Amino acid sequence: MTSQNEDNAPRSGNLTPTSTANAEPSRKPRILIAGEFSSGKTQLITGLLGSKLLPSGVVATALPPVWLVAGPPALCVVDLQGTSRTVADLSEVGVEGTLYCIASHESEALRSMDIIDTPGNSDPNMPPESWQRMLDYADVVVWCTNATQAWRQSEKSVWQTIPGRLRRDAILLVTHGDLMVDARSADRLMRRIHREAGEFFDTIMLVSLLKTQDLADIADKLEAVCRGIGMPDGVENPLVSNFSSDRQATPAAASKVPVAAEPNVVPLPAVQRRAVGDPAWSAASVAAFANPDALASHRARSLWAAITDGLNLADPQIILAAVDTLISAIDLPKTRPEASDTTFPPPAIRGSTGGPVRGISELEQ
Amino acid sequence: MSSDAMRQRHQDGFEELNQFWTRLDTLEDAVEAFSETALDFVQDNIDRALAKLHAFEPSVSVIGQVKAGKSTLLNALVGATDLLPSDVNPWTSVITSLHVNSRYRPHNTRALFRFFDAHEWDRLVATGGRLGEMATRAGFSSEADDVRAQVTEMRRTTQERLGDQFDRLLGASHAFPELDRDTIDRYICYGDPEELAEGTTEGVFADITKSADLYIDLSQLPKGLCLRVTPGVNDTFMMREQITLNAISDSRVCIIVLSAHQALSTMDVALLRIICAVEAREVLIFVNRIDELVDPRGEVQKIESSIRRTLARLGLPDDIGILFGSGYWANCVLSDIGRMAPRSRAALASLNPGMNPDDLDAVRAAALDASGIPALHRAIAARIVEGPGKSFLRDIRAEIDTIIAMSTTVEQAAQMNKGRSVRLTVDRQDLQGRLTKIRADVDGAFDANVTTIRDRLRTQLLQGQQSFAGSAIEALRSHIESFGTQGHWDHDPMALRMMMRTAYGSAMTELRRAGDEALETVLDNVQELMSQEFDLFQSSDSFDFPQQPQHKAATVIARTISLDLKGEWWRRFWRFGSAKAAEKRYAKLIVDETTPLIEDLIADHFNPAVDATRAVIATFADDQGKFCGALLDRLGGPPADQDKPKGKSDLQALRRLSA
Repeated sequence: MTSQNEDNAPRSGNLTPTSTANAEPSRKPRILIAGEFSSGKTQLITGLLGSKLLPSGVVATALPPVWLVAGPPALCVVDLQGTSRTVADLSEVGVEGTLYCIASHESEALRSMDIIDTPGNSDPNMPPESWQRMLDYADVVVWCTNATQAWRQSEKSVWQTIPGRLRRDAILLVTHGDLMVDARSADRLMRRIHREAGEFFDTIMLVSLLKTQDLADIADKLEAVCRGIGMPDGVENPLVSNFSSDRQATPAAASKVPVAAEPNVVPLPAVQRRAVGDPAWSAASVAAFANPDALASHRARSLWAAITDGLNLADPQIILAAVDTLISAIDLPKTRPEASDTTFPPPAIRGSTGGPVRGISELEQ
Repeated sequence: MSSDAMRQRHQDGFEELNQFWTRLDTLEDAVEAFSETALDFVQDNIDRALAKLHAFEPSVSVIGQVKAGKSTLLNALVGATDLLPSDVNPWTSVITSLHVNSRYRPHNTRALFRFFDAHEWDRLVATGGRLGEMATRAGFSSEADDVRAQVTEMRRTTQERLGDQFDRLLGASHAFPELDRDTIDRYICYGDPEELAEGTTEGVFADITKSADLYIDLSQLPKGLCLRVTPGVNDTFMMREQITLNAISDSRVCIIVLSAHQALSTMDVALLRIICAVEAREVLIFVNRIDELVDPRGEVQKIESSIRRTLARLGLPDDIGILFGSGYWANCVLSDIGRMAPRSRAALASLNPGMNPDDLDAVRAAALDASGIPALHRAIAARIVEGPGKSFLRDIRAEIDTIIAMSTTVEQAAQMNKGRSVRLTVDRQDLQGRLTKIRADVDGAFDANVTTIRDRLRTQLLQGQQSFAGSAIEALRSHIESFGTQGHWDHDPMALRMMMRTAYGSAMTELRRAGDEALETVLDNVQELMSQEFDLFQSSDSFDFPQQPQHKAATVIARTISLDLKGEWWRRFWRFGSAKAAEKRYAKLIVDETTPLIEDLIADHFNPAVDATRAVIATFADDQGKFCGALLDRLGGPPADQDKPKGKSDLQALRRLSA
């Protein structure tokens, strides 16, 4: 497999040697979303991003894996030879001859992780290799299964082929929980799933992707997993890092949105001097952070992390500018702009009132 | 609209099948009336025809993945909304045949459950079932051990649960005079292990029950119909695979149930391919659970075109009927419409924008239409009438025509006898001798033909096996050249199945020809005898030969072999040893796996087909013998009485109906 040849590539990707000196993870963790087709993968991603970037439907969607990174909207496809080319729209992407796509999107969720969307397993029109080859890049796998036909033999046999390193933190999302007729049914279902799949997953959650609260719980869970990862062990991918850098080098060319710069890309030395005061994160995210609740909890620290993410903190000037930004962000009046897609408010920007992940996920303890 | 009216509308779709039964009933009455006055020598033929008419029970198999809603659909089909249990987890563990209005119900029995016998269990534990056998043959000893350990564990929990009963149950069956839900729940559910431990009885006989026959009488439904529901595919140890395949081969109409959430996955395609590979049969796809879709109207169209595209891409027949609906909706209509889940109600409303949600009758009518059940009834009825119904009618007519032809000839001979006396050159004993010789000659020729056909079949199957192994090894070699002895590798045994099916099909055609030849030889010889000895000619233009039996589909071909299995097993298979060693192992495996298929195809399918054909020839020869005997009696005996006028009109009635 081509990816394995890059095993010896430096883990630090495009970072300069100076910035690898600290013990911080060299890159963001990558969450791979997998499952049989129509198990809610795309719906989950739409919910996490807060925007309908990927097409979804009741029938299998003929799309190669899509690697989502933070950044102003841009898209490229990687062909079987491993060369990439920019395209304007996902509808131009064919399954044949494509390894995967890389898409950037400005979403809170992507600030702390990359998300890799994969085509559904067991789709008769799509060979399983098309998603399995993405496993090497993944740090965490979320397996989606539809509550109405949950955890079948066919899923179990596929899961058993997943590398052991990915099973440690794996999450089984039982989607369409809203289709359970009553609590007893949900309970019976989850007991069976724990019985049959408990040993394969770290966390099992029964969720409805239509519910904002459930999406928020999933986002929390993913963030927690990402924080706990330490050094991500998925195989490095220069194409993805280059893609991110390219976006940064020519932001105007890629972006239709009036956002000047791109915050989440590992910066190259040449572009490190961007002004910190630029609205590098969206106004919405800043406003969301800057509410009284945020101050009461650890939101200030998160805000700092968001502002400084990707910046070279070895430069005192940059630190000062960042502090300045932090202060002005906290001083912003408490306004919470409408999310662009009202159906799916980005879960990462909800207030801290949402309690811990409750209910089913506790069962597994 | 009242709920009676709803019931009426629910089963209107069976109209065509009911009409078919009316025709059969009229025919049966006519045969019975004729039998009162018929001559003795055709009495056996008449009894045989009547027995066939009584036994006709078209059957429909409902198959599909776990949780596709097969049990719910079956309940909806018969309108007994609470008959078969269902659950949020896979629940049906047993092949259940539901006999509607059966005339063959065993005495005082409404439910009959059969258990696996001790031999089947011992074998299961010793080998790990077919799955374990495959693992062993493929050389995956640790996997085989795993499977065996799982089976042993299953046996242990079952034994523990049933205690002393366990040994007594094996090989036995339980019959109940009444159908009730508790009984059904005990036998045909998997049960929930934790609830079982707490003493619930649901699923207490799971794992040891092999099959269930339920008999239900519902006056509005067709006279005889068997609906068979199979446990969802994914039978862990393939304990029931063979039984499922038999069920499919017994039912010429198959409904593949898909869940609208995930229509047509690789699992469903494999199932469809197996069914279509076995024989061009009456397959219907029912996409169930559309009440759980958010936008049923739009999504149903997408699902249909996606299924059609997939079928076309895989080279599967494009004339397979696809229906959409929801057994749940129909069950709500027939029980309590008020209890419909809000989601389902919303989906129904989106299909019927003008519907007043408070007008329960309107909701009922809309839900029944949207449930797809009346449409499924019509489709089932049409396929039964066109498929098994038509060929049954052809068989039975041929038999009746023979009875009519023989009776008429004998009557005419009696009339001839009135005017003049025929000088007979043979007596009863001579005739018997001549007939015996005819019979022996025909049997000898038939057996010689069969031997040739069987040898040719075996040769073709072995050649096919060789050529499949050759192409598989060739493919493996090029894979190893490009990727080394690792990476994903499999070789679809579909080509092997197609070849086996073709070879079997042509052997069956030859067998049919050999059978026809034998029947013609019998007839020719008997006619020659008649013209020589009785100076009579039986016109062979209008003569109907008995229909040769409909041979069962060679479902053995569809049996899972290890070459079908993908995943970790095979990944490991290639990982060790040199390329040469891998080739050698693979070649041996193909031969080991497919030789039993070849042997079983001959022993379990070809040979029984030969026996069935031979029985048809024997019966025909006997009939012709009795016919000659009757002629001899009429011609040689005292002049017959006037024909009974009643008999004549019965004969005419029968002739008219059979035409």
